[in-house]
Amino acid sequence: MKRVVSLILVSIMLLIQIPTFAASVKPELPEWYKSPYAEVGNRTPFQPIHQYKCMQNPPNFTWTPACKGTNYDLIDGYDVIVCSDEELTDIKYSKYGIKWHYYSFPNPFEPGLYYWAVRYYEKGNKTPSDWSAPRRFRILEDAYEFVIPEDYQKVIDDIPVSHPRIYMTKENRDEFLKRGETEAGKAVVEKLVAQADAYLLQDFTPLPDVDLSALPVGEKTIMMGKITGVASANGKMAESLAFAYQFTGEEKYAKKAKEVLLEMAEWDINGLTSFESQDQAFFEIMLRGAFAYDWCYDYLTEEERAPIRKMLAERIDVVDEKMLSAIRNDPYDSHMWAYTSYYVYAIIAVMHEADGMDDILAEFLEMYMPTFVPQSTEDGGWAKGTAYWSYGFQRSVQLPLWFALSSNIDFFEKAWAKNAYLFPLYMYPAGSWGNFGDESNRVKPGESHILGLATFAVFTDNPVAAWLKNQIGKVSKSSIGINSILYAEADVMEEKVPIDYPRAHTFLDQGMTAMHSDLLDPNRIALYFRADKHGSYNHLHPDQNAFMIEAFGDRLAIKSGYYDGYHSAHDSGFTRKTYAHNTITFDGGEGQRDDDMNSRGNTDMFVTSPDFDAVVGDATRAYDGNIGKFVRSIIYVRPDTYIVVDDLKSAKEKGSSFEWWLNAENSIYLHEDKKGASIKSVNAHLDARVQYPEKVTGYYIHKFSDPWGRDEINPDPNGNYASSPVQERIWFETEKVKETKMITTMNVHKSDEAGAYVKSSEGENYVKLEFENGTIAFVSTSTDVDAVIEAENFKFNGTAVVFNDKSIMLVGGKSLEIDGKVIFTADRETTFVAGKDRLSISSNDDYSVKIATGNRFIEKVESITSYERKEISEGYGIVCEKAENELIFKAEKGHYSMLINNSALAGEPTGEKLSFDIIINGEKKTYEGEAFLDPDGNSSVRVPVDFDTNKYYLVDKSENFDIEGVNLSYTKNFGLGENETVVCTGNGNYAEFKSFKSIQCEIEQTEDFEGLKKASSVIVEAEDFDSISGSGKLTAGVDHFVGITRLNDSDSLAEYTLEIPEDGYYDFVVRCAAWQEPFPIRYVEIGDTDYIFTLPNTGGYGALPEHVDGIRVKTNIHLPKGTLKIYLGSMNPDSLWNYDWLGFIKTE
Amino acid sequence: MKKKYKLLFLVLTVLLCVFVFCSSAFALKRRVDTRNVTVRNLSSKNDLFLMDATLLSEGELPTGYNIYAGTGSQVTTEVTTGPDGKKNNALVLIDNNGGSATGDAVISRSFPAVTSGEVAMDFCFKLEGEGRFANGMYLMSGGSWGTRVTVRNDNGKLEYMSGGVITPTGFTQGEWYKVRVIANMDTKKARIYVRSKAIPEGYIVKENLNFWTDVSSIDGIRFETRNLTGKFYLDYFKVEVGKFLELINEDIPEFERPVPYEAPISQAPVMRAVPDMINVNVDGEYMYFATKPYMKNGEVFASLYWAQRVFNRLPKTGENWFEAVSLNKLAVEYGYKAEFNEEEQTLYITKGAEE
Repeated sequence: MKRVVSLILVSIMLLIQIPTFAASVKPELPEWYKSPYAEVGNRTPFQPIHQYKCMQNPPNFTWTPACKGTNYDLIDGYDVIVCSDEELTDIKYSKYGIKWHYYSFPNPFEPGLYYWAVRYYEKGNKTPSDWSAPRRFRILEDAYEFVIPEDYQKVIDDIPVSHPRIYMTKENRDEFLKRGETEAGKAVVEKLVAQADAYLLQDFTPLPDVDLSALPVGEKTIMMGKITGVASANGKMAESLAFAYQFTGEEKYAKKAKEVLLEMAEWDINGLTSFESQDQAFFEIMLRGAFAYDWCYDYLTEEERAPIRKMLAERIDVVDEKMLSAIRNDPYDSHMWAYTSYYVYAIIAVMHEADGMDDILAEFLEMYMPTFVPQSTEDGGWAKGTAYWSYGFQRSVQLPLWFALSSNIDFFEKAWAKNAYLFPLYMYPAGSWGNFGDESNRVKPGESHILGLATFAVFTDNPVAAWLKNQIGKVSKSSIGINSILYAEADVMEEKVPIDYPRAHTFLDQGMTAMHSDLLDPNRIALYFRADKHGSYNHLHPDQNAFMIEAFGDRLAIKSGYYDGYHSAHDSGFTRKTYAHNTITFDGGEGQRDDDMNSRGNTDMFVTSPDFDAVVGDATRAYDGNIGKFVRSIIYVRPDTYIVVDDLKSAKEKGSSFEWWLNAENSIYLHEDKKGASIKSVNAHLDARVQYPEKVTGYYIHKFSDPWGRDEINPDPNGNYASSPVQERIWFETEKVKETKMITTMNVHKSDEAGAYVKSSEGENYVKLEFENGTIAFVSTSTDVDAVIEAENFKFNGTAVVFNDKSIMLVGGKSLEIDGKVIFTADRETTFVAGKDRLSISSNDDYSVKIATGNRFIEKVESITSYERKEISEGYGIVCEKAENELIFKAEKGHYSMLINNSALAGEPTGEKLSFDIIINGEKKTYEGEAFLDPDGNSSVRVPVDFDTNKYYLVDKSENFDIEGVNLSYTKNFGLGENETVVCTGNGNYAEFKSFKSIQCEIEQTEDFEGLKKASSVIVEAEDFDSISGSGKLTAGVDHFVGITRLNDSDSLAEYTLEIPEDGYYDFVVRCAAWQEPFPIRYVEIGDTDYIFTLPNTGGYGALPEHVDGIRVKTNIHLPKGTLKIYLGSMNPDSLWNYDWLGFIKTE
Repeated sequence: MKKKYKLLFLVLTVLLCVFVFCSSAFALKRRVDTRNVTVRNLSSKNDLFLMDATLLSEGELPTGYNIYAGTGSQVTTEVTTGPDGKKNNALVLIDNNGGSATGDAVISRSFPAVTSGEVAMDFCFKLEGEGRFANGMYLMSGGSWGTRVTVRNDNGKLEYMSGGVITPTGFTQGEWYKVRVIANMDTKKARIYVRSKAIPEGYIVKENLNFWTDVSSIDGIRFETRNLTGKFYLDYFKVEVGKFLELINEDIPEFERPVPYEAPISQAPVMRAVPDMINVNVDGEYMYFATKPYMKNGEVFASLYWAQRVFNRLPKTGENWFEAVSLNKLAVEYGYKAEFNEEEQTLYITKGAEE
């Protein structure tokens, strides 16, 4: 019996153990942990990504949660190991028991090659999963060291109980206020105090009385902008007043700030400024409120503090969980990331005074530290495109500013911060219009560039950032905010001109590439290209493998459509369609999947050299299986020509027709044979020719539409863009084919010059292209990647061979022979370019190549270094073996640009002096400068020259005389002023100018603008222009008039036609708003004379009708009856105005 | 006995192991997430059938279908303008009883029941007529509608029935529409995709559309008229099973595409003398040089690299590619005529000069 009982007991015990045994089962490894190439959409990515070369030591470690969706409760933590071997046996660094899917190692790693993996634990199960597939990364020898100390939470304890605590504390306040005593700081303080003085007389602006839910999308977008504007205006008012209080000690400012703060505290946090209704307004209140509360704290009574504190704490409470979960679930949430800083400033302001703030901040920092900044990784790029870079990156560095000033953790030491200036330098430089993503490709760099670059110039001590900022403007001449006191020094710090920088750059983290004719001259020719892992998600578009081109200040090939609202009918129906971008669709406009992180591309290869650049992108994945292959190679033949080679394969049994799109801001024309097109802008033209296949036909459309011209799915824009110009486009369509190459050439030239001709001939499996600058290209027409092409004395495998007498490039190939001699071999598809003592190679996986030396492209090789003159070594992911007449490279995935024989780099002095002459109105002056080597290898000078500010005509000039940023034209006048940069290549250059006639005019200002309008003989509405160039655009955000805004840049010009009713003498009239210094100096060009006038303060930018006054300009010009053309332009680009109508009134 | 206990213990242990193994095996058997996996259209062996009325003669009816025509109605094949704008034969359901549900014209076909995976029905239709209510196109399960697409004339909409009515798009009389209905028998959800001349790019009308009735299998298709006075044209209907991401039935001809705008024309660049350099023109064609030729003592010099392209002359011993040579002298050497035009700053070389 005992035995039976024992047996039962044993059985029971065993059964009790079942759950324990069962729970000890190893958790299954999620699919996305099994491959280093797994696609995880917009979830937290695995970082470092596989085969990444880290510029930061240690890198950020993040990984996709092991659970599906947000079932974090099922996960009980993670382990991370970093090993020296792919088998993960030799663990070098590790961390076990990590709560979330991100971690920062507290110490730097030894530079070298590593493999990392993560495993996870299920809740209630102590057995970990298997390790994820190993991901390889390399810590580069000269990676930026950035360590988050283990005791980083100490920053919370260090937040003082006393106020102020933002930017300064009670202890270091005196020292902080000394920032206002430097020359640059003084200007900021004076401007902000003057602003505060104006605020003393200004009333609090109430929120509009409106029901947002009742408005259509376009109007809702405008109204949401207004609400943010009101929140921001009041917030900035309180903030500026608090600043003035701190820097002057005068209580009148604190008193007014208090009134504003208390009014804002009254706003219903569930109303118009709620998080759900308008998160941007919500966060503006948090940041500005936090500043004002903190900096006026000692002036406020406890009764006054209480409602403000309550408002801030309640707003913190509303977003607390949302902020954490949004970023944990979707680190690419642009709004949440942009506003993390705003949220934390509110927490800091009420720390120790509102409950639970320390815990909230601790949890936030745990997430923030290792993930900052997900819109970029390390290369300094910005995944949301250029416009959202200008909106977002400055907000993103708001919190790092606090860290830099208040702790020993300096986020400006991160690789991203160190490289951040490269994004505006290459993707959105002075003179550019920006390119990819929502709202991009619309305006030239402005204030956000100035303030952002000033931040990086000062906080990363970067003189190139300072130079770039100065190309765009000065902090002291921008809208000053309280942060200006932190980086005003950028205006006076030493700058460095990046002459020695390569003229092309790729941001591999973002898959964006820029190829410039000139990095310094805003009048450059530039092509931008995108093939990107971030897909079409959020603010990005389904535009993989698309390019954009701008030249001489004009947009040529553009991103079409308008961003009249996020996913509005027009935005989703046209702007976010593939055919609104210069890429490929098939079968009548079918394109890439929108708003999907997995609708991705990849930049496979990129090389740059003095003569040729190339970028290769693969966009096949973006078509969701509906296209078999789309690999685009863009070859840049400097300075003005591109070859676009598209390798296309249909996914359909019966094949597809492919459409090659070219969208234009200005007029676009089809060539008579329908195999080419020309875009004609004010300053520049682009000629595109399809060189292959023979059977293509071009079509034209002048509406927001796909090839079918339908209105149903391509609605027109609304809201701010309701009256915006309709852009034109052309597409070239192939026959229905299983697969084909499309080979297109594009040449850019000034509008008053003829286009270059491209000789084209066809051989067996190739097209030969000959360009006017002597470059020859053999482009393969075979779709077989293994095909060996025999073209004259060349034999190659690859997309194309491009060469001149000194440089040669093979694009996407494995072999090249010339005259029977092997020049290049590779073990996989590789792009290489050699010549002029430069060598650049690139491939999309680890590769080895052999390159012959002792030929006209690479002669004898003594040494090979990076452009920074560092020896090529494994520490950079590449080793080089020098054999007889051969270089053998083994390289990790990626691109490498190298210098042969330690040759001179651009920018280095040549030791000679070069002179040039400038003749103005017959008077000659000779200038001289120290010569340097330019990027083309020529001896050049850059000399600052002061001109009398005026417009000029070009009479004559030598070929190699140029002025940066100016279109020197024989047929159009142009403006010159102080400190112009003259660039001359070689000695003995000259230019002769004749100044334009100009007359300074008196003005009369009247608030009775209606009376002035009625008395005028002829009036034209501002928006009824014939043409508008530069940044000028329709006004937005005002109800009572439609007019023109941003006609401020020196290259902005609006053309009007008026009918003069009768012969007589007339004054020019204009209704406009001008509201801040420097007040606008504008001119109206009539005939051969500029009539220049300076506008007075009209009281505001035009939010109210009384802010827009009538101005009579005393031109007293004789005008004959009939049609008159006039041009309206700006003399001082750092001033602002808006105008409603213009015309002429008879003088007495 | 001791041995017996041991055996029992062993059995229990084995059972326990089996249990644990099964648990883990069960745990391992999770569905593969296929959202990111590209699944191509299946080969023709998965096509259940295809009806292309262009292959029928006028008046002929397709075989293998159940066809019914009530009083005043007719099912036949007649010539009409096809989706591609060409005249073609199409099946037509003619109904002259718009006032009632009687007199319907019906064509249907059954196929082996599909109980799992996806089944897709493609068809092409246009409607010319008047009527209050639906002219339906259905995936059937026995007598039940699995999911269906209907056309309503009275409000100018296409409707998709899903336990309710979804009317997502406008509808134009006399226009061809291409429709693909994909029913997922595992999830009991459907996806409906439509293209038309007005919407030739096509779009997904609705994802995850509930079936009209809760059916466990699909075994037929059915097209019918109701309350119609007019013609209901049909063509290219096809049923496939498999897994579908492909949204375009390649068997259906493309729509005729209008060219919405007459293009402004400009001239393509033409061959010219290259600006800012001394040009060399050989037999009427300008030569292109990366290193510009220069004049010295009345002769035009260029590097040998470029000269060889004119004269097909390789460097001799002691010469290198970048050595400058006189093109005038080389022309004489080769018996070509060379003449420099001062005004045009161009050296004209005529190869046929020796004749």
